[in-house]
Amino acid sequence: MNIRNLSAPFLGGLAAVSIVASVPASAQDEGLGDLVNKGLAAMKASKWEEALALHTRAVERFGNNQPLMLFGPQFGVIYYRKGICEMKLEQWDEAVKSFEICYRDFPNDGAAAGGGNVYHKRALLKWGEAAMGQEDWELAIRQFNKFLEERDKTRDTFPQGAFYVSRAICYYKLLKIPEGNEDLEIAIKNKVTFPTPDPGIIAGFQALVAAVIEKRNEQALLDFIEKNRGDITIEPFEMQEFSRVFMRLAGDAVSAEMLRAALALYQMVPPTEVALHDSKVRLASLGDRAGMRDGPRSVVKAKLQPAVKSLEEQLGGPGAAEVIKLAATAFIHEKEGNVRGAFAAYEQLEKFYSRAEKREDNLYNLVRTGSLIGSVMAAERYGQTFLKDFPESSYVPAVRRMMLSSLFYEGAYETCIEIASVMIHELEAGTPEHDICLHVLGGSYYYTGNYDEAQPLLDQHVEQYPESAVALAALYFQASNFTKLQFWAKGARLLDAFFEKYPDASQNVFFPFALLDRATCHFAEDENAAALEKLTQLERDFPSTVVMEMALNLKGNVLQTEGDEEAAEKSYLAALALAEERENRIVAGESLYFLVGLLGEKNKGSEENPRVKEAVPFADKFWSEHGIDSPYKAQVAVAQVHALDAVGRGDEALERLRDVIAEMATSTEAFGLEEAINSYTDIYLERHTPEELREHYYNFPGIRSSDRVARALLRIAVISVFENVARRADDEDRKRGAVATVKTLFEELKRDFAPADLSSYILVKVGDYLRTNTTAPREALTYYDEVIGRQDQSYRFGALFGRGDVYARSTNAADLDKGIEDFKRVFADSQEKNERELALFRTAETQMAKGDYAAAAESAKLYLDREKNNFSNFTPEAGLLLARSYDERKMTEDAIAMYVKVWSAHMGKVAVSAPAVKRWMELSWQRNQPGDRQGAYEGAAGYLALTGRFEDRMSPEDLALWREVGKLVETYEADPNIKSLEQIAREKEGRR
Amino acid sequence: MARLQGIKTIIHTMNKLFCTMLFPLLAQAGLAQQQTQPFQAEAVLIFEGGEIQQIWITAATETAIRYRETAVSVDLRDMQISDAQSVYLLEPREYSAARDLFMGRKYQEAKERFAAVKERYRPTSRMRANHSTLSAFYEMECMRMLGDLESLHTAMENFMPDPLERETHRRQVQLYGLWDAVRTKSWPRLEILAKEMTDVPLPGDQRAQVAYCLGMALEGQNRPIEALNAFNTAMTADAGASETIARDAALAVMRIHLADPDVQLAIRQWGTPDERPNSPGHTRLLEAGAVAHLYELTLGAGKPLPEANKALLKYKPEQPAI
Repeated sequence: MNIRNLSAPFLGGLAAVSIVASVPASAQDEGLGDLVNKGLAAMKASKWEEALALHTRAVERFGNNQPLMLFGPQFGVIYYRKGICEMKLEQWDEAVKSFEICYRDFPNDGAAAGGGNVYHKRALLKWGEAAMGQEDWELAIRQFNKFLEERDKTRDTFPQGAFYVSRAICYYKLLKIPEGNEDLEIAIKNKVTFPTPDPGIIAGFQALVAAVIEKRNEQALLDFIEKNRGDITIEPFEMQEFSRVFMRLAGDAVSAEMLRAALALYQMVPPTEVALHDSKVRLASLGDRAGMRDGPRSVVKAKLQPAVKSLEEQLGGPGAAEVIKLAATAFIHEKEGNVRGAFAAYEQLEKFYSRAEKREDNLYNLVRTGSLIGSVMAAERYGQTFLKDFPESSYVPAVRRMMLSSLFYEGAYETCIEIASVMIHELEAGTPEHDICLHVLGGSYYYTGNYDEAQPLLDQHVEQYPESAVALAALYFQASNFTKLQFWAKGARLLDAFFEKYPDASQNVFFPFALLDRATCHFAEDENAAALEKLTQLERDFPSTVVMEMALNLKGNVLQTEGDEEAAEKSYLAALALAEERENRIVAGESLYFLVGLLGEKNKGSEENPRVKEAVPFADKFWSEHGIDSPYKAQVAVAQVHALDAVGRGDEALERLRDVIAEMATSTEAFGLEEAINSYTDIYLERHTPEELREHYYNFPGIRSSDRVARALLRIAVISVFENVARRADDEDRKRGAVATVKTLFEELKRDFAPADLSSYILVKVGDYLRTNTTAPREALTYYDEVIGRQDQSYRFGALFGRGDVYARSTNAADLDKGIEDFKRVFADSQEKNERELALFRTAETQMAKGDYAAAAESAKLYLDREKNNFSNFTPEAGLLLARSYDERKMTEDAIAMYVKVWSAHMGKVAVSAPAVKRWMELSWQRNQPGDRQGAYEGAAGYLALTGRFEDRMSPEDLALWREVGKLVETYEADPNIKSLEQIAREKEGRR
Repeated sequence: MARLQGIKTIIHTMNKLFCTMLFPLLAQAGLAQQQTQPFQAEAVLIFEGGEIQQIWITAATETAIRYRETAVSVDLRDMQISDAQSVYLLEPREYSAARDLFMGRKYQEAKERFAAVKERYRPTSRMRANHSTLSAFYEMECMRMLGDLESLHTAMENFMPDPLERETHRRQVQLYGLWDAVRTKSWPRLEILAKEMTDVPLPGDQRAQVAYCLGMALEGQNRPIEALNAFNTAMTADAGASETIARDAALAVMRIHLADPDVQLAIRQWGTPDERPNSPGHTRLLEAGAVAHLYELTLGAGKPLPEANKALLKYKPEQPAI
């Protein structure tokens, strides 16, 4: 509180009052008059120290010997003036004493009225002011009040504006806010008549703010502002003097969490530019004049000049009030939850106040809030600026993390991969930055379909950061990614764990997505009932989910598989309607494809499909609305063939297929192209020979030499046709010709196309041919490895199986292990039951080959467990294998039991039953418990009798095995201890 | 140098001649004023060295004044403004009162007072920093604050900005071009005009106006997210000191959020098992809720939150943002 600001206007007036006239002539003669006159002159010249020294000498020399009696009450004026000088020099204690003496020791008596101590009552006023200087607020108020009570209303005039402001300040200092407000409002209401200078009002207001903040009475301040806003909002040039204090008070209000008060105070500080221009204009208007009194306002050059200089420095500079205001506004908006508001404020700070002292913090917060509101480009742009301007900042890792986060959540996955794949190597594992970077990189690979790249990163994140802020998303990505890789069993297990860990759907944004994934896993594993259950849950609990149309299509697939075509059709139609409503064109195209496929089948069972023509409108809709960009073009072109044929548009169907083949030929993916070619091949062959097909396919219309995938697929189609001819031709010459053609075609294929140029389908096809039809099956490994190394998941299991089979044929133990590993992967993750079944059986076989009989037994048992797998294609072979595994381990009892089980159950399958019988006989013979040998003989003889009727239909291999049993039966029959069947028959006959 | 001096002499001579020619005009202006009510604007002539002379101006042009030497003098004197170092126009009490009303946000009353001062001090309206022009300027500011863009448009057509001395005042007059585009809903033009200003360093109140106008332009062109960002700039540019802008921007933000289908979905899902805390609609609903709170806290500047927006108050995050 600067008391001088308040008292200056009337101090000058008081100093002008002359005491000389009132000093007795004797004192003047003794030098008192000289001292008083010189003291007054010094006061007029604002030489306060000199004036004080003169007045002090006067009271020291003349005031010790009953001055009241000697000089009368007018001697009190000297004390009054001394007090004024002491106030000017901020010697508050001394001033208080001087005014006290003036008032106490020099009262006017009645006779002295009109002369005497003219400042007797005013000394009370000054006493109060000096007490303010002492910060003795109680005393000040007491003296002010006493002055009001005792003053002579005609003689003791006083500057009322300053008085009421001063007393208000005292009340505020004592936290008596209502009393203070009353005085301040008196000063404001009468500001013209008192007058009350604007700076005085603002000084009072400052005290109010300080009291309000200390007392935490925000509402009192807001009420006061609302009531007096016009009076406490002063001209910009005047406010300059108070701006810093207001900024500080506003800051205090923020600290005291009085946000409304803080903002109200910030709003009172004019923009720097406005204050500058106002000050400049007023300064210019003064010309050479030092100041101008303009109504109640003083326009003073000595104040304006430094103000202009200061404002020019502040403008856009590091200390501008706007910097603090914007930063505080940002804080308040964010605290209230409006992050976008905070972002806007930080952005203004960066754009217009980039020289701010705390630019590093501001820019960091700009990136942070930009990231939070999803303004990716802003976060990226300002993040780059931050990294460039503050490369050593401790915020650098966080900025990088946020740039990544915002990019990721906005779906800029390619950019995320670009940045994160470099950044991940620079970050220290275990830090939050590494956590986010790993998550973003894995997630970006996931969202861009790079599932192979994604999986190790997602696995690593789950393992390394189980408590991460993104743990929920990380777990979902990991599980879902396995389903995308078609590792159904593992994906299903992780999804179940995910549901268990985050069962509350309201807190789990991925819940509906995970349900769809889980339903897909169930469907892939032929668990249709479970799939339907998940899809029903999805429909019931998440009717608005963004994946609903996809779920409806999947539901249609499940129902169609279950044979409920009516319900499947309804589901596809619902999916179509929803997808169209949501403008999800890809899924709408998919729904149409499913409808065409469902309705357009040639036959239903053994009957012709009566609804085949109903597929046509859906097919037509597909081509008219999705014929340009749908990924299902090839599939629809295939699926619509019978329907179009049924309505006499067969040529159109063929033409469409040909166009689709030619169009898709340019795509490296060519998803569905082979199906289109196969379908086209079938139709083409109805009217042409295989040789014509070969010619046609080698010069297929619309296919260029650079369309390698399509050309290779066409070659494979031709190969398939000739393979078929080779299998079925009755004419041996034609058969041999076809076999030779197939061989030539494969060699051409191998010569003309590098593995990288071929589709996975073709690679597997070539690999399978090399594996099964040549003497160099390991040549196939190149093709299988190419497929397995690809991101594209199609034909992966075919390749894995083929590779496993190549290794399994080896005699090298390491190769056998590799083969077992591939088979196991197919069994665990393939969605094709046949693939899984064969893989499991081959696992057992290879384990046997390796000599790992216990493992082979476990695999065989797993195969034979109908409840778990429901496999049956290799049941006899698996049984035989299990029996042999017991046999190898000398588990004779188990072996005998298993052999008998095998041969008795699968007599017709001689390749299995014959060896089983033979070995059973041998083991029983060796065991030689009572009845063993006779039983072995009789059982085998019975077997021969029962199967002998097929003898002429047995393959040479089977016949050889069967005859070996016959030989052993004959051997045993020759044993004297064995009763032959003939003997037994005779004995029976005899007993009759 | 000699040539330059010659030109200066010619200009000085021409000025004197021009001043002489103007004196009859001043006489007419003063006469017209006297016919209605006596007018005089209290002023102080400041001369080189700081000497002053108090005068009462009865009429003025850009370069010359007619004045009395005492308030009650019957004699009128003419002089060229350039003969004094400065003609300091003392602030009329009625202008001060209008300013107090304006700063007290009582724009309707202030507008009427400014209009009166504008008319009364019209005889000085060609002088620099005259109170007629200043009053006309603040009258237009009142119109802007009151949202009376039609009146602002009309007032602008008759407004002569040359006497305005403050750079910020002159730029404000330029900004009226943006407000006129708001008036006519010329959204693409407004976007261009506003974007020309968005990178210009402006005082907070003017930055708030530009951002608000840009927000209007973007909202009018159905670009809600961009509009949201612009309105948020408007709300924060000067800590809400431009209370009408801050209030209207806050209302615009809530309006945009409430019209957002994602936000509408989030409202329907709020508190149900379908609630999706991380969805864009949910996030923007919380943003709308925060702005509703800020409206009550400060942005509304004492005006109650509209009924239609009150429901937004319940949408708060479980954890405060910071």
